Amino acid sequence: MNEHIKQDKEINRITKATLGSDLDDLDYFKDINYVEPKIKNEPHKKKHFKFSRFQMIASFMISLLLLSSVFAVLISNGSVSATKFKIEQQIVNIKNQFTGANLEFETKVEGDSIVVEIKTLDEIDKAADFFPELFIAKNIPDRYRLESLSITKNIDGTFNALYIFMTEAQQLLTINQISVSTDSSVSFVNISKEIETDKGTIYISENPFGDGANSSSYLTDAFIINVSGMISLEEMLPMLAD
Amino acid sequence: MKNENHLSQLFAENCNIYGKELQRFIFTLTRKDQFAMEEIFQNTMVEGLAGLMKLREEEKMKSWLFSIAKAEARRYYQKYQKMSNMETSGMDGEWDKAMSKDEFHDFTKALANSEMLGTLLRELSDEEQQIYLLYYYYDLPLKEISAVLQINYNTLRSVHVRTLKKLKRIITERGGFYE
Repeated sequence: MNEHIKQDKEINRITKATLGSDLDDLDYFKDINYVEPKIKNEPHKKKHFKFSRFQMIASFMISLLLLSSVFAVLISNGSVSATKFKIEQQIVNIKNQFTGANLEFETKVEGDSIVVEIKTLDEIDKAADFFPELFIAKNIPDRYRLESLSITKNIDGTFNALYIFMTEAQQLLTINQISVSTDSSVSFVNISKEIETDKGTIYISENPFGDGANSSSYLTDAFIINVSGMISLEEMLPMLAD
Repeated sequence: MKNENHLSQLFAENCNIYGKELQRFIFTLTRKDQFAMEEIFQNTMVEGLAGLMKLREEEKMKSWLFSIAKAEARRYYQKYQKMSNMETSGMDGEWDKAMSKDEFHDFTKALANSEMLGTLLRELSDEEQQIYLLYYYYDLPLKEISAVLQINYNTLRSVHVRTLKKLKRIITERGGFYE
């Protein structure tokens, strides 16, 4: 490194160490008058809600119609999947503005993703509408109850789904479905057993952490489905059965 | 909506914790212009609150606020072009050679003493102090300072070099001062 750059870095380090976090002693700041930030910290306000319900619905339908038309154009273009995804996100935002809170089913935009979350298996059809290839959890041991199912749709069109189940004693069981592409490389470790099925291979790892929990990874052409929790292999395999 | 109230609460807390620090940073950027500082600070608050849901990592809220402040300062100076009057006289050329080991030893020894550093900074002009603090304390590269304050980059480099030379000269003139 150039000597004067080294020296520059050292000056930088020493200056910060010497001045610390409080610069008020420096003459430079002797005339500063601190002001209070004018922050309006109010709970989330839904704007434009002076409409009548009819106007709200009409406005919502028009928005959807307009966006749908845009969709048709964009989809036919074929090279704008990111834009299409952004529009999907806008639709979610619009819907969220016009629909009341549902504690059992929620759709939201998070960064570059759309996330659907359900809290009860009664809403599983809605989740499957969002993600048609969703792995439907079944044969779950009775002692486990669903905490949540979160499905994330990513900007590249892939999905991840995570079921979290829990027992009264706070023991966890998770099922995680992850999109894989044909050019992905997947490695499994600590495999004690492999089972071939019509759709792929189940890799079983028995008690990998020595705590009595078992895990398995079901690799198909399109997904990996990881199951992990305090369950026996006899309980686990029926969960992955077609 | 997700975390909105939580984020708003966190935002208010961060503004209370880092409000002064942020104002000092803006005060440095504006070279002691109280009026500009207040305007940029309040604009930073407004923009921060408006863009709160875009913040992905809440632990980075402080640096995020500082970035907004930089952007607001830049907008402010684009609008008012106030800082274009930076002196260009006395350009000393590039800091083309590093200090010798002994010179640098004395130099850093002086900087490591908070009282001395305060004294040294007082010897600098407002403009030189501004560049010194932005560059060495707030880690703003000269190019970024140039972009934010709408100042010619070469002018800034000259001020930077002149500042270091001035500090070095003062330290040399007062040899042994820092023992």
